[in-house]
Amino acid sequence: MSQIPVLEVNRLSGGYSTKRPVLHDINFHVEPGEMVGLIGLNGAGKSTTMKHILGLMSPQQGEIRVQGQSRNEASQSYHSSIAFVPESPLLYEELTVREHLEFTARSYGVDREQFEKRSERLLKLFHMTDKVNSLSMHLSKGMRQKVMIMCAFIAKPPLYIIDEPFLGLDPLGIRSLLDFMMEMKSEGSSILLSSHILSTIENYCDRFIVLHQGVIIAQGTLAEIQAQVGRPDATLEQLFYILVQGGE
Amino acid sequence: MDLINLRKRRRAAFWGDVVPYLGYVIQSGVAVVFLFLLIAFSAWYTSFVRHIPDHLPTNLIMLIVLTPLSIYGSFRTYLQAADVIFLLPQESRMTSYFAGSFRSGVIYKFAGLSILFLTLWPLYVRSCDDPRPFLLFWLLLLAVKIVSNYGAWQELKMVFRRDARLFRLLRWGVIILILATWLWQPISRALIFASLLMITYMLSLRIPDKYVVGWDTLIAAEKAQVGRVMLMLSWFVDVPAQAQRVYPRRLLGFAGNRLPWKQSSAFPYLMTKTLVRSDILGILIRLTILGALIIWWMQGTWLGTAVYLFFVFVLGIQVSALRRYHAESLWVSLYPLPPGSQRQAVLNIVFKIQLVLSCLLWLPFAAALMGENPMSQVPLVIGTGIAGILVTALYNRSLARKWLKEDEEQY
Repeated sequence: MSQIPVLEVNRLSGGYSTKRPVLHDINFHVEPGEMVGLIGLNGAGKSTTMKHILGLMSPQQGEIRVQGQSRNEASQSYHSSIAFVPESPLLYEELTVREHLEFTARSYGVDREQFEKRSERLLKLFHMTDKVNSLSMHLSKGMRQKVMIMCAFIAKPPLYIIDEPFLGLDPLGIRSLLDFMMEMKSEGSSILLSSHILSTIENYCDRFIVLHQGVIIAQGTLAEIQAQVGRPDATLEQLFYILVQGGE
Repeated sequence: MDLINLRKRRRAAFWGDVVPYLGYVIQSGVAVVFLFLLIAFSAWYTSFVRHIPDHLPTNLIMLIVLTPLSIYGSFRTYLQAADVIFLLPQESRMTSYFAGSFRSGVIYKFAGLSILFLTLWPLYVRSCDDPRPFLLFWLLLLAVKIVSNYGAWQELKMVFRRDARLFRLLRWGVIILILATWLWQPISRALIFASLLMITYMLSLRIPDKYVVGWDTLIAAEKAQVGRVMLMLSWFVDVPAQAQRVYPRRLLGFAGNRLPWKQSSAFPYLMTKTLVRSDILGILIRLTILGALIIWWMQGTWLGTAVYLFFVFVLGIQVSALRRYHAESLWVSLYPLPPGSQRQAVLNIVFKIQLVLSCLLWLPFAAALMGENPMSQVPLVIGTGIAGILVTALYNRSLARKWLKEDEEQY
């Protein structure tokens, strides 16, 4: 019996206006333990795709399933299967770093013992132990982003949706994040990651989805996209330029 | 760039946003209750002034009532976050922009102080053995207000927050000393002392390091001011959520930590933390102290019962503003929590806090039982306590209905 994909996006069309949809007939899936890179120019529809998956926007056509369930069928279970890291950190000014982690853990039903273990590990990994009792308003942008990342990882759901996670992170933070994502992946979690730093994600993602003007123009492993473009030795960055600029 | 006009345009835009809500404020029942209480207070105050008790500590009352408004100094600069980029090149010319803010800060607050002074005046002249001349008193208050606002303005420009905190304490001390000297010492001596103290204080303001324009502090202060206006409007009508000022209050950091560790306590946890670090807590404490004083004064009377119930009701309105916090937060939509759990968490907090405060406020009313003929006071004291609990329960029920309807309309 084949495994159910963690995320299935079938024939998705959607956007802010029915007359001018941003996304056109998007189809892709993410398997358990897979890291998929979603790449595209600004305005290609990456964030809109993520908003649809998160349930912040309703599809005009098509459907999205997480762990085999749509949001309408089982909203609470759908949301417990996803953790999201937004492009810009969105924190509660009234909470400290630890309180953010605790609020997230309580929301996702993580038990106390697990929470203590995971939070200690994440705080150490992201060099935030000495900031644990700081209010979020006293944190730098990079630190705020680290809190967002730690909140997602403390929940430990089957699917992570991560939008431009490297923005504002210092080199140590980027390394810690990449290492931790690999660890989550090896434990069976799936990651849908959007980033413009193609040279970095080339080495970490199993597959790539290239979005251009709301349409998927290529998807597959690096080798599959190389074959599709007809450039077997090209890097992801070169392939991307060829795909979005028509080879210019 | 015409900076004076820029400020005027921003002020007009702000009030253009706020004025449409004022109609709803006037229409709301709360405004009528306020009006009713104002009339009741006027009637009580007139009768009180006619029959002033012997040995009333008038000077102390004047000092306690006039000090907060004399000290309080805030400014509307209408600055926006992007000004750090776009107005920074105009920094040396910003004096003309801020002159209007300083002027309005003094004029409106002095108008409020003058109304308070005029209200207190009949009590003061009738009960004080040696009252100060009206005009001289009023001019001294004007001088104190200008000095206080100037000090508050300088504090906003200070480079180090520690300096600003120290100078705020110094300003409070200076103003309390000036008012106290004026009330208790001979006029000529008090005037010389006040003048010397004001000059020394103004000179001392030159010592700390200051920015030409304290952009970050001013922008944060403006954000807090807008948040406060919107918070007040939200007591009467739905307004867009605004970022509110956050207070670290480390001593209260433990609040919420002992909530049971389960998914359903996630929102109670978030909202409890929010409450203890928000403006609402400060307002609740101030209102409870003010209410307790007035209720103690009117203990054992029907008017005291009315004032007690009014304070219980107003405190409920204050806590219910918690509902506006995080209402539009992304995480509220994304986290796997049952729909309506935030509404339920806020309702529970409103009920608990209002109940505790209604019990606290009942204590000064129940002090009537310690006076002469306590048995005759028992029915009124007990009845007032029960009425307080009833107001709390009924208010919570009406909130539950209103918020449920709002949520149903939204989804």
